[in-house]
Amino acid sequence: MDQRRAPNLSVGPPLQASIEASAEVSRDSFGESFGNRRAFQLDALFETVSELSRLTDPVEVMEAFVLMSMGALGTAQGLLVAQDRRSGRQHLVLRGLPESDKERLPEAVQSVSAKVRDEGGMLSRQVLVVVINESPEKPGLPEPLRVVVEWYLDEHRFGVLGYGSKVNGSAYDHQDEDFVLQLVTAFMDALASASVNETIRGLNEKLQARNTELQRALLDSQDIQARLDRRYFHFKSICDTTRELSGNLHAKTLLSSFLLSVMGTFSAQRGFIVLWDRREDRLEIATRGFSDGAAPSFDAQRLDAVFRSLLHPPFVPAQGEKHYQVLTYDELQSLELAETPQVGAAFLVDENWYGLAGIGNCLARSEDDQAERELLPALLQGFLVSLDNALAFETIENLNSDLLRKNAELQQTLDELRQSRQTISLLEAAANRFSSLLRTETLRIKQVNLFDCLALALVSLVLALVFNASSPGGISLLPETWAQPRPDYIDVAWARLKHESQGALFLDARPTEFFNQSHIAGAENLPLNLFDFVYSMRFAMLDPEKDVIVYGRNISRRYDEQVAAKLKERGMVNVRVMEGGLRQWQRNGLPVEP
Amino acid sequence: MTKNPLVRLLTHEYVALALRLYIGGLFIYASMYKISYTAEFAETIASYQLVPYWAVNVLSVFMPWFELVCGVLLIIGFRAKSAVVLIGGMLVMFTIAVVINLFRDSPIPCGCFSSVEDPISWWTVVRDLIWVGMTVHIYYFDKILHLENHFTSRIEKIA
Repeated sequence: MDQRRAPNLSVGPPLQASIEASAEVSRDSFGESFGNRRAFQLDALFETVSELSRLTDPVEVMEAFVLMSMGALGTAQGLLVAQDRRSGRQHLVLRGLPESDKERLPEAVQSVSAKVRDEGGMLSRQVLVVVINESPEKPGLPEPLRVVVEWYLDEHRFGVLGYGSKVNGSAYDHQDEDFVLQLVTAFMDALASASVNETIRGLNEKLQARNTELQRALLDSQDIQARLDRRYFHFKSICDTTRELSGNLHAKTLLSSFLLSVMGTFSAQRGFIVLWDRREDRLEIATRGFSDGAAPSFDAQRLDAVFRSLLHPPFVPAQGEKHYQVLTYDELQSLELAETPQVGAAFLVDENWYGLAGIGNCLARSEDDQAERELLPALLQGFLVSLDNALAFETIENLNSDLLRKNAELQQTLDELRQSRQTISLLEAAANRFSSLLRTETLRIKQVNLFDCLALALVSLVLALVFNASSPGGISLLPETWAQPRPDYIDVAWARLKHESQGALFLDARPTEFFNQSHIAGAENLPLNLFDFVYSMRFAMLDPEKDVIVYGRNISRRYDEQVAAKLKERGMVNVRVMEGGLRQWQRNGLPVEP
Repeated sequence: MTKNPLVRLLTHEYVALALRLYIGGLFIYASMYKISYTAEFAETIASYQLVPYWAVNVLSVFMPWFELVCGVLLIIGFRAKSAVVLIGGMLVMFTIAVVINLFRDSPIPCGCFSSVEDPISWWTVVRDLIWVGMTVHIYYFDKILHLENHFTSRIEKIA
């Protein structure tokens, strides 16, 4: 195989100058035919170069080059396989060759790629004539080819070029070989230029696409920013409303405060809100922005009708979660208010508290925005929580005042009870004292008691004295002798003398029993208790001058003194009482009778 | 109460009641004559020779009434304990007086019921001692038919 290395044409003078120079050399050195042929080749080369330079697409360059080079070489068969390793594309141009070889062509390129990978195997812008005037032995290359050139533009782009035999039957000579090398060089230049062009175009397109995308993104971001702003505004108004409402614990002020907030949020000029306590039939109404008399009026009957029409699923009071409903325009219209509001809602606090709100004449309102639609429910949720709190607070306050009142009542009752208890305990103490007193008294009654005895004695004494004083048979309490003058006394010695001389009459004044028991010898008995009888019987005739000696006294009775006194009353003059009585007489051993 | 039936019979409250009525009646009866004839009773007291002469009359006025009041209270059951103790005391006193005069050989009547009675004797002492025993019985066993109980039982109920 004849293999020659072509000179590197990538460097050196411009192509046009080198062609002209070589044409001049060939005109001088060779003959006329040679000169004509050389001129033809140069013309063809020039045409090819100028034709290819107009083209900007590498594929077009390849197609055009194959046809033009075939014409210039005078062959009817041409082949070009180009590999672009960067994009992985492979381009095949087949002229005058059977299609059946197409499948095997890539193999031919494999050898070139192997050379490229092999360090130093090929240089940039190198062209290598592999076969000339022979059938190619390389696998994959078609049989009819008589010239095979491997070209290598750079490490990414390379390929194989092949031509069949000339139409006139002559073989390829050195001039043809040079011509082919020049053609391929021109082709590679054009291909490089077209590739650059293509790259620039591709970049341009990409840039444009990016530009468009960027524009769209900008628009998107602007839109998002706007929505974000609105969202922020909504969020802020919800926050503000909730914060403002949360501290408010009175339903009436809460209503007006909420109404103001909602109107501010929706930029509304009018609004109303009504709260209806169905159990106690109480209405709380707050309106704003209506001229005098234009404000919508509500009564329980009207509200009852409204809520009856609204109370169907999903707006059911017993459900608990869905306590509000944003009203559609149709529903608002059906309320038949003086002026249909644009935004409205019905809500439930519990089964007794119903509410209705509506605002109208809103400035700058976009109906279909999702965020806008979510705003009222969000505000309502916050409001309902606050309202619930406020109502609970009111309930608590009521309960508290109730509790206070009851507490006071309880306290009063307690005080009364305490007083009563004190009274009861006092009474109980008194009763205890009384009963213990009674018990001791009754016990005492049954016992012997000195006081009782004394009382008995005293009573007896009083009775006795009274009776004695009033009775005819009463007696003197004091001895009678105390009231009488003292009688004359005679001692026992003198009485003895009188007795011995019998100069005196001895009278025994004691009772008869005692006289009978023992008496002075010779004495007569004149007992006091029988004085009158015995005196009259026995002593009436007695000489009044007679000496009489009376004796007979004991611890209990002074018989002698009394008898002596009686005798003196009867006229007896010499009556004496014997001191010491019978006892002294006997003690002196004087005579007594039995 | 597992007492001898005889003891139970003797200490029965009805026995005590009978004795109470008897003693009370006895004292009332005894007091009647003495109250009517105070002077005679004074002589009787004097005959015992135990009381100073200045107290005889006072005692003779007081004693019968004292006997009467004690007897009446004993019968109706008002301050019966005190009454029976006083009556017992009087009986003891009388007994002592009789015993003293028995030792003195005083020829005096008892003077218990009237001034005209047989002279005192040891039988008088025995009789008085029997009466003293009765008052002791009354003191310990008398319970029923007291005027006081009629009120005190009610008071006890209230208390």
